[in-house]
Amino acid sequence: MKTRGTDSIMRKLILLFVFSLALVPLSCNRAAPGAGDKPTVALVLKTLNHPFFVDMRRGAQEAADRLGINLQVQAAEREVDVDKQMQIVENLLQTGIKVLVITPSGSREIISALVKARDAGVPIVIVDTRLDAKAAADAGVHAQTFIGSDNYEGGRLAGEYTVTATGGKARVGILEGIPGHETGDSRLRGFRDAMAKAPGMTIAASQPANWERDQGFNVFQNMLQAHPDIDTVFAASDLMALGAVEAIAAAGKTGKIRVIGFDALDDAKQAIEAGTMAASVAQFPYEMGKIAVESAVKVLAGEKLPADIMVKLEMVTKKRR
Amino acid sequence: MLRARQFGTVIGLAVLCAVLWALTPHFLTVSNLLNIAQQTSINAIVAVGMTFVIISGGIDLSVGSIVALAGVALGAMLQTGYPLPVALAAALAAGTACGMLNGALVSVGGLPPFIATLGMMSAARGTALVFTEGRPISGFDDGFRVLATGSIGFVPAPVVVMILVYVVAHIVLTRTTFGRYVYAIGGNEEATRLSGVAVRFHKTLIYGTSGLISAVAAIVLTARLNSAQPIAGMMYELDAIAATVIGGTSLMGGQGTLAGTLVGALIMGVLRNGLNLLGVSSFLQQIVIGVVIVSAVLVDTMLKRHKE
Amino acid sequence: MTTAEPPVLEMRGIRKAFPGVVALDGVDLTLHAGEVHMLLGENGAGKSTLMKILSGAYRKDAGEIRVLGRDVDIQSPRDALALGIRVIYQELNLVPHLSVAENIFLGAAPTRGLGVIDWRRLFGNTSRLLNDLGMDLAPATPLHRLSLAQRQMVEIAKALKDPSTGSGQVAKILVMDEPTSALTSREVDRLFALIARLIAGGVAIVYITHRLDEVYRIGHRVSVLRDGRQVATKRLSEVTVAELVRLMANREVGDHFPRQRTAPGAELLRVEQLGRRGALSDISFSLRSGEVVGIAGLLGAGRSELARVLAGADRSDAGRVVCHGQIVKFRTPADAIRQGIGLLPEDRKAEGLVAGLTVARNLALPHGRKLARAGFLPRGCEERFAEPIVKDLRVKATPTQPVRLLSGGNQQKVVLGKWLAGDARIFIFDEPTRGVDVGAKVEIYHLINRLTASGAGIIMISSELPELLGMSDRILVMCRGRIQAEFSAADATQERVLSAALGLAC
Repeated sequence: MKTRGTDSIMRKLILLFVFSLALVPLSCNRAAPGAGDKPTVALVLKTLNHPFFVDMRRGAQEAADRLGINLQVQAAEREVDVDKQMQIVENLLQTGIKVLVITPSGSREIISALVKARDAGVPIVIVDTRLDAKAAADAGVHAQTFIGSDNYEGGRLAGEYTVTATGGKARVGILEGIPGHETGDSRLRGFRDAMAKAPGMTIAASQPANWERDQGFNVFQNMLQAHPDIDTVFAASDLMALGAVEAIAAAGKTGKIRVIGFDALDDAKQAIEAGTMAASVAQFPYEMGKIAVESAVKVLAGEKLPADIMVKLEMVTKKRR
Repeated sequence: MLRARQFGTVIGLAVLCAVLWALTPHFLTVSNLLNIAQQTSINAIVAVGMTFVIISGGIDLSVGSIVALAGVALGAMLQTGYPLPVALAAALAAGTACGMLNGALVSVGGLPPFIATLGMMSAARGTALVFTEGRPISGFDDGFRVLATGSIGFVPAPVVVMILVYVVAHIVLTRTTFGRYVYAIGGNEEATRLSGVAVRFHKTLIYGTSGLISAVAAIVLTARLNSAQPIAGMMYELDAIAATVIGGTSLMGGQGTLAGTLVGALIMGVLRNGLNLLGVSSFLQQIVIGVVIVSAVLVDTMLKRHKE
Repeated sequence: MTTAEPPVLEMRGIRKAFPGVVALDGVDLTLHAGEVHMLLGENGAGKSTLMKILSGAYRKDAGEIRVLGRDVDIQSPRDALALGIRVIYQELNLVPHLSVAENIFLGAAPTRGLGVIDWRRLFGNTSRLLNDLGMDLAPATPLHRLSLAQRQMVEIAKALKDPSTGSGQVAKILVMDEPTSALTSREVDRLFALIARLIAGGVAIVYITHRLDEVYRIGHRVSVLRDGRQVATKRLSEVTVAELVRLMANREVGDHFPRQRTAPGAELLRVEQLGRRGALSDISFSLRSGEVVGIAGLLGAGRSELARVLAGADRSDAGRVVCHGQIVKFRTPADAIRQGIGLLPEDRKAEGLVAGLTVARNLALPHGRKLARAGFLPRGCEERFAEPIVKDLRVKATPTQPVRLLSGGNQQKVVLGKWLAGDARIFIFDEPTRGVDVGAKVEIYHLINRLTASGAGIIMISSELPELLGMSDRILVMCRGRIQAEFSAADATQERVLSAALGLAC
């Protein structure tokens, strides 16, 4: 009797596992590797819970459908999880992908995974975030091309806009991304360089809000407490800028503080139309994704690509739209 | 009873492997299996310390932050030019010190482990961020990186480290008085104290062990990333708790084995690897992992209820 | 009691095995309407297993069960309930913050649809039920205001309720597992009056107890189990107490309290004006080699608190302790152990044992340092250490069994065994025979003799006055944290000790 009971438990256990794994084939959508004879291109994103990367994925998928290749998209749960991204790359290399397109979560850290791609003979296309040039050279990793917009340039663009819009005199608060990220660091450098050229501009405070909307809210709220005279805020991403917009509304200062963001997300564009945000630097992630897949196909065809493919940047403001 | 429970987990792992083998030809290859071993190693190592703590009736939420802090200590020492052994010792000391502080807060301070280690989780992370000003420390020489890139025979170095940690920890847990007290404290702390065991001292040691082992994981992780990141190791505590609990260790304390924990960590590693190979989207992956964790523990609970 | 009708319950050839143990081997039990059937046996004899099979908690391996002449298959507690079988366990399953009525009808309260409780009907049904059972309780009283005995009444009412009408008497078979273990004698009288009322109404009762006086007060017949086998079933008019004890233990327990007194030797322990805020004040006494000092008192008199302070489990804040001629200060239990003090705590499950560990590992727990070589435990050293203790104390278990699976008496022996192998010279026994069967009790008394003969001193706390009077050389009576009186063995009588414990003049 005892054994009979244990058997039935075992059966249940096996059933449960099979059941949970039944979810797997259900979710093997169009991206199943090795389907048909089409070559598979892998697109490894930092994360999929950010509109920027969702757009990039859409552009990539459009190009993949048009060019008749298999696109396999994978991403870590959190944008900063380099180890998880490395694991994804290692695992994808097992499935016989032909080209690896990646937005590195860490411009140095990811290189040891890229070494494995090189060893497996899989060509690499880098999107959005550059590899650390020295570390890549030391490890002997060579990317076919880099596709992205120049973040420094974008930062400078935002800075110049700010100088013009404020008539060259303002007290500015800055919301930084996660420190140590190439993307955020470049944007800030560009912005600060533009500020430095205008003697009337003062940077009152500069604090990290780690790319997140809720942290943007909290950090800017605190910043306003410390520096009530801030009249302009630059956020290295729109999510943080939108957080700042809420903080400004909570402080009853809507319309009195200029908010300049980065990325031109849909939410940010609406805020600009509504007048709660002044401007945002538009990158074109859809474009990036599309060009990335097109470049991957060219690599497959043996074409040589330029070292950098720059995607346009644009200031989005109310009057220009 | 313990054997029967582990048996259940091993069957789970076998079924999981069989299903993946049937679904994708890329799963059962030598290089992929080595991949899994390597990817599992860090979580598996962290879970060793977690197993000690959970058997003793506690919980350690600070392991991920200790991984970051110990890694940063190591990176800074290496970059300043200290010799490798000194830097390694400093990392291990930093981890152990954080763990002992946890233990002292729990045993002497009388705080619930959840609170004490929650505080450490935040404080250790903050210390790592302040120390590095938020920037990763990268670029180490090959003598250190061999800990991630090297191998003995065909076994990658991280896996070698993992095996060593399990062997030593298993001996400590089953063959020493300290190990015996871990079970006794988790089974009945008051009875253990009345038996003359220095419960406070040993609890401090238990959390210290968890910190020490987190530092070992930090060394492997830093070598693997070729970078010490103050934001490394986020959510490691939850993965480690999951591996431990899937492995049959009771959150009530008093029972559990390291063999079970290793199988638990492997289940999670195999699952993540398989979901990547199958091209499952990262959102669905989280659902599947959640379902597997809950069903594994559910089965365990049912088995236990059945035995009563 | 009529025998013409078919019996209410017939159990035939019941067999149940657990891994490694045959718990029941061919046990029969017949129960007639209106009968109180006593079930006797040492701890671990199989009484609880038999009742768990009847209540559907366990499934039998073999045998048959008939209720009112009909074959039945009891697969689950639900089946047992449907057959009118009710069990009242030793541990009460009640919710302290709910009222009497809510507890009785927990999960079966009358509703007005959508789960809204119909309070008028609930209270109405409850008073009718309590009336039927002759219980003087108000339905709206919160449970935590009731005494233990009153709670027991609630538990009985809960077992006997008919969820549909709210009146009592649907139960045909009622099992009571040591219902009087926590009751005062007045409360016991009330319980027995209730039992008389129930059997008059045709209920058949199985009554499990260790107290032989109760057997004769309310029982009609008795069945004795030993080691899973049925030793006898007899009418109580045809069997004597001595016979029953022999049947249970299978050995003559001639002298109930076989104390062999020895001349006291040197002083082992002296306590001077010891105090602990809110628990103890001005405690002074001494313990000499070869002596048993008994401590009497009511619950809450401070006896266990004194034991814990002397064992280093709690700290004192006044007075001093002199051990082997030296003033000592205990900060932890380890300090007390170093002075040769061993504590057998009052609550062995909560304080004495690590239930999940094996017998050997529990026995070795205080001796880790001695057994280990540089912190490492050589393979099998704990089992080798435990083997002679297990044999010496006649623990019915192997060293590798988890103590959780042992019966109460055997668990108590393991707690005792922890200190026997060490250097303990001063033993503090807090309720050493509570929940222990007759045979194991006598073994513990013999052990006390052996310890004093070898020069140890024993402080024995007990709520059983006959035991205390029979085994002690001197008796201290505690009341409200103080020592109220001291008697020599010759002077002590139950009346004198009791009146001192109650705080009356002595």
